[in-house]
Amino acid sequence: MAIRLRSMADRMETAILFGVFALLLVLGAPVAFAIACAALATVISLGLPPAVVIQQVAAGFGKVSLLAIPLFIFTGELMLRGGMSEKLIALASSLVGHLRGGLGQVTVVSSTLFGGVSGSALADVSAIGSTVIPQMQKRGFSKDYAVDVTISAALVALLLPPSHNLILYAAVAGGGISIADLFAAGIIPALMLAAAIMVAAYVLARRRGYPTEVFPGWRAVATRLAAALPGLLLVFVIFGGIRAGVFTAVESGAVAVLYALMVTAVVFRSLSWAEFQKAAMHAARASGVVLFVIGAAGAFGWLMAYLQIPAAAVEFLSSLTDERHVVLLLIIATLLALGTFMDLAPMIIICTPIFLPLARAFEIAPLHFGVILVLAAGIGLITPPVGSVLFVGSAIGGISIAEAMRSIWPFYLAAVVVLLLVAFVPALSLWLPGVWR
Amino acid sequence: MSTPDQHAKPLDTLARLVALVAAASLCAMVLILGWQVFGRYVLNASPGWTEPIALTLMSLSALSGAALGVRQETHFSFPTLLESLPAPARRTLKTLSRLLACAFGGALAYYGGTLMLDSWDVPLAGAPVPEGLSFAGLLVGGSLIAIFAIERAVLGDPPAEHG
Repeated sequence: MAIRLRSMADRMETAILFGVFALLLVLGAPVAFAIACAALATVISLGLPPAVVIQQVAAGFGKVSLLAIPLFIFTGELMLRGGMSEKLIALASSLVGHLRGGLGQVTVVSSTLFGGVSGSALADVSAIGSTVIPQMQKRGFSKDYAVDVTISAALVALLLPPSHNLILYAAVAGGGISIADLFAAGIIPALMLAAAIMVAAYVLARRRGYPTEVFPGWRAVATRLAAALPGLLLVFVIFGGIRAGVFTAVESGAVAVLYALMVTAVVFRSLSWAEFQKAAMHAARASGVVLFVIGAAGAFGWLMAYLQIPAAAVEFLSSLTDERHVVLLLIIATLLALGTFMDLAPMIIICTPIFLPLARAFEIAPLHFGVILVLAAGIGLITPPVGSVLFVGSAIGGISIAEAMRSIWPFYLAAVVVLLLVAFVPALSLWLPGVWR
Repeated sequence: MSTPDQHAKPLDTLARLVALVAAASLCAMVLILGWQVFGRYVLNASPGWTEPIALTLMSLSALSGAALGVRQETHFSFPTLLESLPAPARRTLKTLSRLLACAFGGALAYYGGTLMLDSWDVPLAGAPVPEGLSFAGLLVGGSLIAIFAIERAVLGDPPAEHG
């Protein structure tokens, strides 16, 4: 096997970089610090000044395009505290509550609608889950079902604007990838994922004999649609604004915050000053945690490039096979495995420079690859027994991971099937951007 | 197990202040980037200072937020092995990882501070402020990370959060 690193010394530094990282991670250190300290140890052993790492951390989140991330997180917080998620759940409930699995289906549709607003799987699980999981339990659904349907539905959010994951991917992939195109590329896969999870929820609900809700009539649907409309429009404001070139992705973040403020504080008067303060503080902390790991991963990525690891990885994987589908399967298997113990942001930052050149070498379009990467890394978040969204969902539902694992598999399988379809049928992600270009 | 009473009071005040600064920086970013759009369409002039200033604010807001994340221990970690260990070993490893965070926070503050001083005389591209200002977040955030990490190492797990 032809892994040719520059020298024995480089191979040694590569071992330090990944070894220290893995060791710290296993010992329970937060991912961001494990990444940063691994980079620091490697730089010191290379004989470079430690300031290089700090410079790279600063450069890692000092990119203009990343300004969108805290703004999108802030938007999600405002919509959540301004009561938008309840309105969307009410709408979803009137639309699909009467299907088999009732509230389970409501959760999936709510996550798809709210996903567009929050853009984060964790925000989704906390927002939708804390409302729907207790309700489901009250109406005879078992806890594991309630938790599993919620956490798998939350993955839909990762692919819809204002998901910051696609923005991060565009930033790491380095120019040439339009964020508007990426957002468009995610839409069909997101809808497919929602549909697949609804089917899984249906099948499981049928087998377990779960109840349905009563259809409240079209008039109720219309009333709830009217109430939820301002929230739903947010997605169109962001997406339409970027698509039409009215504003950049970064500016769309600021516009989205101002829009969310207008809807919640002025139109519905459902956001108090105290809640606004909480929203801003929570958003600042949440985005701080995300951006910090982005900065640390930036230093890690810089070292990987310095040690020529991406090139070695391309060479290694190309030496295994020259069959495009096999390479794609290898990439997906690696991403799913890594995704189980990594957060999304470091996954995107560390895996993009390794796998994107490989994807390019095998003529997989960067847009297509971006959707595969985010979807696969997202599925990692619910992979038992370690996915982080699985943890949060179980905590909200008050059950152990072992209990949550009892019914995760139909949902997991549904998500993996969608991933494989998206991976092997490029048109699913490339058709829409082509049409709207 | 620690209770809120065991929390050092001055650090509560500091954390509150940091949260306010981080939140205010975030709001300022919204206004500045909103002004950029307004400037382009209404005033017919795109201000050049908006993005570099917004980036400087983001660095301050993000690193302060990350420091609060250290205090509340909301940074993403992979707890599988840790959870399966007996309590004394778990405590030791947690203390170790808090000290690690403290060390990295210190490095961030020290080298960030050096970068800040070195580039203080250079103007920031696009805005009439020193370039060094864009590294101020590293100094402030790094110091806060170190302080809050020590707090956790000494006092143990953070109290549960409300709201």
